[in-house]
Amino acid sequence: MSDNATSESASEKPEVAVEPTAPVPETVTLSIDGIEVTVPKGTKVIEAAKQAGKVIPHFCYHPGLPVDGNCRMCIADVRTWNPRAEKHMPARRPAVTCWVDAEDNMQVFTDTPEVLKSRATVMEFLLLNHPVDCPICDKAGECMLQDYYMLHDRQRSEVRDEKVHKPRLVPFGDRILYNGERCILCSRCTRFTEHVTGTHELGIVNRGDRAIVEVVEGGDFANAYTDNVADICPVGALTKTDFRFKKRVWFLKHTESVCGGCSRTCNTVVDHDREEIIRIMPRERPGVNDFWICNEGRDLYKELAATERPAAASLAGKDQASAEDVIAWIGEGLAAHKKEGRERLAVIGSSWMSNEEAWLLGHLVGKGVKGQHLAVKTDRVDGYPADDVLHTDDHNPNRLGASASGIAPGKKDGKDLAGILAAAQAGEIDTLIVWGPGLAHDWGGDDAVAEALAKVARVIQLTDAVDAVTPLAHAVIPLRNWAERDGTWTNVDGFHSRFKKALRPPKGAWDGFELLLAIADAGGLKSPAKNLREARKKLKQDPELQAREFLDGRFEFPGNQTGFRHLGGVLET
Amino acid sequence: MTYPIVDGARVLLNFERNTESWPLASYESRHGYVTAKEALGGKYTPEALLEEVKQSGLRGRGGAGFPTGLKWSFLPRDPEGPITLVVNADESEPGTFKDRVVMEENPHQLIEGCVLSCYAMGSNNCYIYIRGEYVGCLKRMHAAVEEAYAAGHLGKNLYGSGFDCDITVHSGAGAYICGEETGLIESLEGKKGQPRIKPPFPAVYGVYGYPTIVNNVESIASVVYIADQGAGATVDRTGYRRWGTEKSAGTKLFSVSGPVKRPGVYEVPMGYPFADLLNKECGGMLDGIALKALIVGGSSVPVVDADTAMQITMDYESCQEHGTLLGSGGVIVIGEGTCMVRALWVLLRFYHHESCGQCTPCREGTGWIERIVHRIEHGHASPNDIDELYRIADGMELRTICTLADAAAWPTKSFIDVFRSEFEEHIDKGCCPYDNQFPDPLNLRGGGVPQRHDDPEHVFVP
Repeated sequence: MSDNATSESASEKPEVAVEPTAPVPETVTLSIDGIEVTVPKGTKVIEAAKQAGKVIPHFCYHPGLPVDGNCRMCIADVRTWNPRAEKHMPARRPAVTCWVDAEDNMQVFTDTPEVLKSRATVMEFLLLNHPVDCPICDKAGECMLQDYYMLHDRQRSEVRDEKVHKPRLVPFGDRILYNGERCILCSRCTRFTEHVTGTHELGIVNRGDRAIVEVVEGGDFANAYTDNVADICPVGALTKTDFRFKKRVWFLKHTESVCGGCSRTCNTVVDHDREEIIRIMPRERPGVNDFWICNEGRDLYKELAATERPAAASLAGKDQASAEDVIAWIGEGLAAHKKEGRERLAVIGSSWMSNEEAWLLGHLVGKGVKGQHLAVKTDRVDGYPADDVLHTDDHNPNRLGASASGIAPGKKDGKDLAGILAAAQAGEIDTLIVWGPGLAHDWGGDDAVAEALAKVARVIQLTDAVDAVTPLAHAVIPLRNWAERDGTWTNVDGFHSRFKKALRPPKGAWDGFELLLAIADAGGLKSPAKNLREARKKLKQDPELQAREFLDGRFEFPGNQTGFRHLGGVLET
Repeated sequence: MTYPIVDGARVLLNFERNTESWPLASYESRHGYVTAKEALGGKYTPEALLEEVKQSGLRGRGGAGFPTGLKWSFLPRDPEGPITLVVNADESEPGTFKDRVVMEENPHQLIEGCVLSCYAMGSNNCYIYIRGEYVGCLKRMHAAVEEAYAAGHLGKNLYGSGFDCDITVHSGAGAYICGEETGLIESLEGKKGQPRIKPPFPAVYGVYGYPTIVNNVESIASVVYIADQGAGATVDRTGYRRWGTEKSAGTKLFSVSGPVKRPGVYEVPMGYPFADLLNKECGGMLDGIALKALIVGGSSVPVVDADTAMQITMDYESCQEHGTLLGSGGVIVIGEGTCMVRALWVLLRFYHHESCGQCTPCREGTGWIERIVHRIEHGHASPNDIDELYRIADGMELRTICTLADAAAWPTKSFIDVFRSEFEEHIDKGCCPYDNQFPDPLNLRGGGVPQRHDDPEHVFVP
């Protein structure tokens, strides 16, 4: 309808230049078990069925990989319209829905007796030589073979012969162990190395029921994304050495999170139990990380656990200062600057602070005000090198988001990071607020930092990690880290990702946003938002933010994405 | 020794077969390359030749029996890349050895057929994919292609017509699955021989992603006769249709093995009664051995018992009427005294070994049914194993990318259907009731005196 309307109006007003619009994708309409769905042309039937709310069981199909069609689990009754016979004709060989493109006027039946029998048969074959060692398998609980057995098979084993034996406990590099007997040879892992990383380390060797997955001769399975093969493995054939025998998956609690290891901000799920992160898994997010994360991102929780954190709030010259004392002191200082002039106040934001925190901090100290010194520093320096899969060369998540939300130098005479350093050295800064650790990198080493800070009257550090600034700061307030608070980050392409609180924060650690509200309160400053929700709403409407090019049409906070592998939907991908 | 002439049917083996029949000189002496010269010289436009092949009713001789001309017509009209012809000489079906005779004794007819087929489909390059074990064929095809290049029957600007045709002879590594056309293409590209999921069919997406036609050796070699004599008509008995029936035109090579007096390869018209093939051409069963069963078209087609076998005429329709398939024409004659369970076990061992391992039902199923049949043969089975076997074979059927699983399931089901009592006897007795004097119960090498071995020089030593 809308197509017609636009074309008509265009023809009526020929003098108006017709704006080149994006080509309207061709669509096809088909029926899945009687439910009509309209999908773009070229959509596979299995994806179209998802839209109709029908999950066709599958093992080898993965939306992030090319179709192979070898498991034969997704066979359904696909009938195409035959214009000559004027009726729907079933395929000569039953079609695998992961391969067949949706066509107009197609009829798909996913639960006829024949289809159900076909699934049960395939399940029987898959389990034929499977060791069924679920009690000692790390995949148990999120294993597609287990789920599908309960859903589609439920038959007694008829096997009376010895099962086929294959190599077990084969190391694929340092991080993955392969069990050939559990393997159902779906080729997801080999397709991953072929088409996602392009490193071609894995291949299936031998024929028939002797086939196994192997690391290519003379090679090593050591790319930066190896752990993904264990995630996409539908069974327990590939397990992560990091997770092996660590925890039963049904004890894990899942919290949506975001990886801060680089400015890609891959969406993740933090799996935790008893206030401890057990593992980090990828979460589907088209346009950001699709389905994958790198090994570094998976190990980030170890880095987090090893970080030294400030024990409690501290204030120079006062023993046993409470957090409230420190907050009051900071608030008063900010209020004084508001009156006396902001040019002697500098704020060094963090590339790990959330957009909301950056936005509120920017507002409190005078975002965009003439001569205001605001800059974002590099918190984390070391990380995997950039590659063309996911990893970027910035090992911090939110440099772009923090500066766009408010931590940017004032319009005129606003100093950047180097400018603040020079000003501090020249004694032109009275108050310096440093958010997070890692200033030494941008300021040229610990000594340079010590030298510069010696000339600043009030050094305030709000941080979740101890660094060279901490012992020198006049006031320190411990913050919660990314696993302990809510927020959003904006990645290098301008996509926003929201992380949620997974762990209980340690005692005395402040949520950055609430801390800023408290500081505003103590200093009598007017806060533009009363809570995080309001901040997020205003942040979304901020005309300046929307005007920014990099946010072009992407200012969307992700809701629930489809396809969490283990967020209540094991069978999704 | 001369080759027996059947009804004057001489499309492929129209000469006295001996060690000197293969070189170019010999082939040219029997009307060789004249057809190609005439066709390229203006007798046919490519479209006309394609139409002629279509009219001839030639059906793919590799086993499926798909009309060759129709297959060619699936090629895109204006393809984006080169069209490739691939000759499937990966003849691995147990019981089938007809293409070997064509390649070893009449290689130039295959080459001429390639030139004509390429001309008809607008292709300039052709691969001949030869089974890895066929070392003799490989060497002879290499020699013949070299001869043809030297004599100007292959290469650029053939016979001054401006048409180029190049042939590359390629050897497989000896995998049955590479006889499946997409498996062959994968193997030809240097990958692991695993069939591709279809559609797209090779005619659209074949070798290196370009349109490709894969045809059997016998089909391509037959094109020479069709181009020379025309398609003809069944009613008038002219041209290629002079032989055969309305739906199964022409002649067909049958490779007969088993306890017959003269096993070997015979060219007979389609529709020729099996009884005649057995009794006239092959000289009947060996003395003292009666016919027990027949596998008419290579090991993957359903088996039939002796009574049914004697009613079969060798064409696609009659075979289907009698519950089997013409397949590739690998006639396996099974004599009385052969244990059918053991015979099935040998077949299934082959399919288990040759399954590429891609699709679940085939990968796991071929091994499973082999183990069960092995158990039955050795007397370790229980009565419900037969039904179990049938159920598994049924589950494998039609659920895979290619037809290897079907090829294992069909014989299994038919062996049980036709010889169920024998399976039950094994289970009841707890052992095999036959004394298996032959290690290979199918006796594929033939029990009688092979006709071609009369001439000691005939045994081809590469």
